[in-house]
Amino acid sequence: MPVRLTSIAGLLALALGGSPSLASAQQVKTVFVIAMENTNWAQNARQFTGSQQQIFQNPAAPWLNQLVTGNLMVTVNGVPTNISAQTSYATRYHNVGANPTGTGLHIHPSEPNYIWSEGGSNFGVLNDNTPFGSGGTNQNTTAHLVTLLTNAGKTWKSYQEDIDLVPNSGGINTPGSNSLTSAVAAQSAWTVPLTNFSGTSASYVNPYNGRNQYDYAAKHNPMVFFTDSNGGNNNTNTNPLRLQYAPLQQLAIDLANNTFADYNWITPNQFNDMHSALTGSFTYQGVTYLNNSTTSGAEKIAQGDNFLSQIVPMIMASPVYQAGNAAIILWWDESEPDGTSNQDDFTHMIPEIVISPLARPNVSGVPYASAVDYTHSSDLRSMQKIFGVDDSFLLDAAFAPDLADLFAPDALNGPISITRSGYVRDRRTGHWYQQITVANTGTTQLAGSVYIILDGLSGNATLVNATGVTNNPPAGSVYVSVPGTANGLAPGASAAVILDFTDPSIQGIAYTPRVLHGNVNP
Amino acid sequence: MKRFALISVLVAGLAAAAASPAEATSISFHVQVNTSPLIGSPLAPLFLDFMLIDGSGSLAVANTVVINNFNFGGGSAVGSPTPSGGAIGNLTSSVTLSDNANFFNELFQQFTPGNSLSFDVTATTNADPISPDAFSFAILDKNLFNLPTTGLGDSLLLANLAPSLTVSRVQTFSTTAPAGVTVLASPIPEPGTLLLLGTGIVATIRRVWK
Repeated sequence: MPVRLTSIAGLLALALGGSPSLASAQQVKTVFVIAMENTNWAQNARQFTGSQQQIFQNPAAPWLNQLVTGNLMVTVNGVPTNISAQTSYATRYHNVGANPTGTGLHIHPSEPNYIWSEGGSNFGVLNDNTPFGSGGTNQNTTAHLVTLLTNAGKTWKSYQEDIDLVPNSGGINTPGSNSLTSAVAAQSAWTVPLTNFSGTSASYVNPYNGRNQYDYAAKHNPMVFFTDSNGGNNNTNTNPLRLQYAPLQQLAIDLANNTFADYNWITPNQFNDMHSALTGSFTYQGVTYLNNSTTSGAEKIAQGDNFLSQIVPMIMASPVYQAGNAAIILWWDESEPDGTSNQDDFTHMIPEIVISPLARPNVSGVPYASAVDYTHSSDLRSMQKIFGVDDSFLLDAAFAPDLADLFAPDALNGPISITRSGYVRDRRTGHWYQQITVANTGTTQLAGSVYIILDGLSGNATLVNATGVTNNPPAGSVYVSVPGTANGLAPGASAAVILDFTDPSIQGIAYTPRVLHGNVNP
Repeated sequence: MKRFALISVLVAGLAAAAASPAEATSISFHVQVNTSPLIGSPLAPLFLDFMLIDGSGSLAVANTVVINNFNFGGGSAVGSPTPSGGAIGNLTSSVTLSDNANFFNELFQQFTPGNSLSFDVTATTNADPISPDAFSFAILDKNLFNLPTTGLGDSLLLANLAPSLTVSRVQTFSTTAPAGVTVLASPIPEPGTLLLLGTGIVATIRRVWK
């Protein structure tokens, strides 16, 4: 009988008890980057005329403009959904190497920017060559994003439009002239797309723009420039890494079957990514944009706007997005000249738009517009944080602010949860105390030491026990070292530190917590 | 087997009844403090101090805490309270703290310690999106300084108000100088639940023994 009573007591204890910690905020776990081309968000001149127009307020981009300025409604899984409510965007995203006067680096054309998105550098590349062959730009370094992901047990995939389609002549991803069809090849035939191909074929109909033109460019496929992510100069189906690259048609299948990756890079073909104008004209939402010297810029923008208006809702309808931890990042590669000042000054802005349940909440009913100075290094730094491969940041990513300003608090902290207690005031010291706990929620060791940075600490409060002030961007924030983390944090482990504030005016204390760890000097 | 099934049904019902308060937007718990180490203390006069501090600093989400049913275990409340912010009441009836208009809300009042001190706490558990609103309790000395404790900011009890808060997550601490003032937080069962619990256990035990 005592055994039975003990059992009852045990079950009651279970019913009454619970985890001792508070839940932490949600974090991004799956990323879809959609890589677009050669269009400024804002520029000094020729904003809406010519072959190089800006996107912001351009009538040729109704979807993008309504997304960032209004209540863009789309039907997702049969439900009218306000995408704008899940959107934030950057207004000061610059070409890598840009400076206020345009006298910094000039990282052009496309390819070095894609390489930069992987490695935090262009590694000296300033052309659009393919990775192998004459002038090949293949890199042998292993210090780039997707290899860090692979080593950490995370997955990545590069979805490229127009690859792995069956040609009427030639091979998979090496089609004969004007021979491509719309038929997706059997997966067993897929290859790593190492070379460019383009053309026009009656057997090919683009599912987004309805036209017969196709155009795959290796220069827009960042992972294909590194030996350990391209599998070497092997464009046959014996390349062990060939399934890291998938035709864009596979994305819908992967979304339905949960076979996408943690980090998904999506490159439309060169007509859908705003790079090239379709031959003749393109009609979008009842407006026909001609491919001539005054409107080709608008035509390219309309083509891309049309593409995004279709693929973004498709991703949003997926179970992974609906689960709340995915982020879609609309990324553009480089700034373009407008005939005035240098394209690499701070008056030429590149678009960067986040669509996610974890995007920074709207302000006064419209998407939040961040004025932080961002570059591709900011995206790279953010990916390293999201996926917990931030023991040390990749080259220029060490010097760039992450995209935290575009997201809800804690969303980019990756496999690190931050839990804050409430505040307590001690009348003996007159100070205010808060305990902050950092936990490793991932499956791999996080390198130490761990630092908690208090970005944007309200001016009425002073952190008395600050270890220092950050040089790491954003600079000027106070930070504390977390005791007991010199050797890192094992999976499941946590460590806490008490923050000691003075607040003479007895007003609210506010800040945004950020974590740095590993081989990083705050 | 039949006896085990009966016990299982009873336990499942009790577990459901016990779990439901955690899903509600408020929590109630009973606080028991061993104040005997403070009797005759040179640190006197002593004060009970209750605080409710806004988590975000924006007052975006408000919570209210009611403290009542004070029992001084042979001691007593003394004098009148000192409230600040959204605090009202006194130790002879009840104290109410609300952070709907102020970051810092506090009430302290002198008391004479007996062997024990007890009171009940009922708090809303609305979630502040940044960091939780916090209810805390401390004992102050004659200088109105907190007695040092093992807790955050020399508190004796800390409740981070959030929908997930359960009584087991209410943190309690003890004093270090003088040592020995300890705190226990426990659930306040609903009268109906108590009746069901007693009746159910008696009935089950009778069935098991037959």
